Amino acid sequence: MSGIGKTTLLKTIAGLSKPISGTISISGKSETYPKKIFSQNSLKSYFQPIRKRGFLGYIPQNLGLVRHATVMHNVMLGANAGHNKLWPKFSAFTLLFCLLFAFSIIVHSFLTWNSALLYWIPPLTVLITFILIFFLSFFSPHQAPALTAIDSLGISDYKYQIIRKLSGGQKRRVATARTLAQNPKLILADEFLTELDDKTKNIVKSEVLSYISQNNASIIIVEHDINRAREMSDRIFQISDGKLVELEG
Amino acid sequence: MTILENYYFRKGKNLFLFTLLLYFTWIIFVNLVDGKWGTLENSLENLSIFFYESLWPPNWTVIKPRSYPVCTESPMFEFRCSTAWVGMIETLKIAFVATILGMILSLPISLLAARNLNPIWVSYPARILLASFRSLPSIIWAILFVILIGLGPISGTLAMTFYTIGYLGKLQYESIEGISKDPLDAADAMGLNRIEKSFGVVIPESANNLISQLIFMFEYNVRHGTVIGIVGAGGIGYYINLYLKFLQYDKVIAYLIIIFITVVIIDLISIYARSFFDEREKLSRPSWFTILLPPSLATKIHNKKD
Repeated sequence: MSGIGKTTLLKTIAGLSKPISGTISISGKSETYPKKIFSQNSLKSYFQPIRKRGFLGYIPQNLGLVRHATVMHNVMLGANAGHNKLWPKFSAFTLLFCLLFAFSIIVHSFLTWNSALLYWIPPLTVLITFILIFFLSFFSPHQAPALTAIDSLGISDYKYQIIRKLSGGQKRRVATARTLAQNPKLILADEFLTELDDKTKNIVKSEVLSYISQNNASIIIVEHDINRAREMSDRIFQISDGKLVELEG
Repeated sequence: MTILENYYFRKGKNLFLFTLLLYFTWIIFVNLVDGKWGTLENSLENLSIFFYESLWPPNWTVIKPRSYPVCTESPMFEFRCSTAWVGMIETLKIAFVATILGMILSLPISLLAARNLNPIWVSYPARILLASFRSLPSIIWAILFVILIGLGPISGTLAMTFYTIGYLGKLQYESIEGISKDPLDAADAMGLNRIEKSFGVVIPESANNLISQLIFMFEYNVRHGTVIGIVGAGGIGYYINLYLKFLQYDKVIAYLIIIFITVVIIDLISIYARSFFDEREKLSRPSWFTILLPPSLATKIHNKKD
């Protein structure tokens, strides 16, 4: 059946679309819609999100990869989301600080009418940028989990290939690697194993299942074929007439 | 089956609407002319008189070196002292700097203005800001900066930068809004913040469009750089304005031909450069010059391209 609300259900769990009414509860925390500031759950719960950064990995039906970027870029997005909250803030503040510094030097040179400054700012900026990039590449934060995920899914041969040049199965592996590098507790996968050849399907399935068993995580898969669903899942639900009905568990 | 479900009736409806549009356009034009059709009478004769008596042939002394400052180039490169070369190079420089500066300044604003990244109360003020930059044409900005700063290329560069922010910003936020929703959904679900989404997802995803718009904007700025020189903001427009004042139209037409050639060359280069960044699959068509070659060589060249 199509148009029955499978993707909408996943998006609602992921917090991408808001329900009109009802309650979503994930690992003990819950939020009730429509949201009210002055409810019994007080102001604190209104502003506190139930999904923390990196908690949730979402693989849309069309995979949601950044098509004009490399495989490594995509996987690093997941790794950055999952592992440290400090690094993105640090890089953003560094960038902002550098911009402010350059701007203040330019303003200073205009105010003091020192045109010699204007001549050596650009080469100095280029030099400083090069040195920063050189030293930051030694730190390489969160690169290890990304590389582990890439290796485990067997896509390390085309680590720096652009996504739009890959085939469908390869893209599926990249999306899976991005989610595994994120180290999520809950994976939401939309039409996860459809349109894949047997080899790719087995690799993806075994990697995801081993990740789940090792990290005590969960996965919710949308699937049409009940046999494929049985291969991966503990509990199977069916949506009929807008209601979830458990088939077997 | 009613007439409304008939395929040809539905197609014919569109044709009828288009005819209606043409009819309204004609009515408005007649209204504008207001019965003064007599002014059209001698226009073609006037054109031929103007063309042959003062416009043609072009006066190519504009590519001869100026008397002052004294030319120090070798005789082969004496054209580099001419007003046409100096003005055109200055226009190109102004356009280049203004395009890059405008791009750097407009990208943050257009990221704020994109509806798929920000709520309405952020995006609409950013859009209004961009619209305000765009509402003044570049020549009005040039007049403003000539008053503020004075004659010369700095005011021209600033004027064009401001216009570029408005114009390029609109193109940029439209292409940002046109990116696929799935990567943004995945990034939202991961919990990436707004800066990471901008630099990690949005800019790489729309990079092709952004670069091709940048090249288009450079070409646009070269064309408009000729205009802003007229108010004294540097470039080849200064010389055009000078000779227009002295009614030396044969020199003006020489400048216009030079601008035309430059714009055509930049257009060709930009088509070539943009072909690297568009997404269409390149079907390798045989080049025209392969018909001159022996078949074995022609197939070799044809296969080499892809």
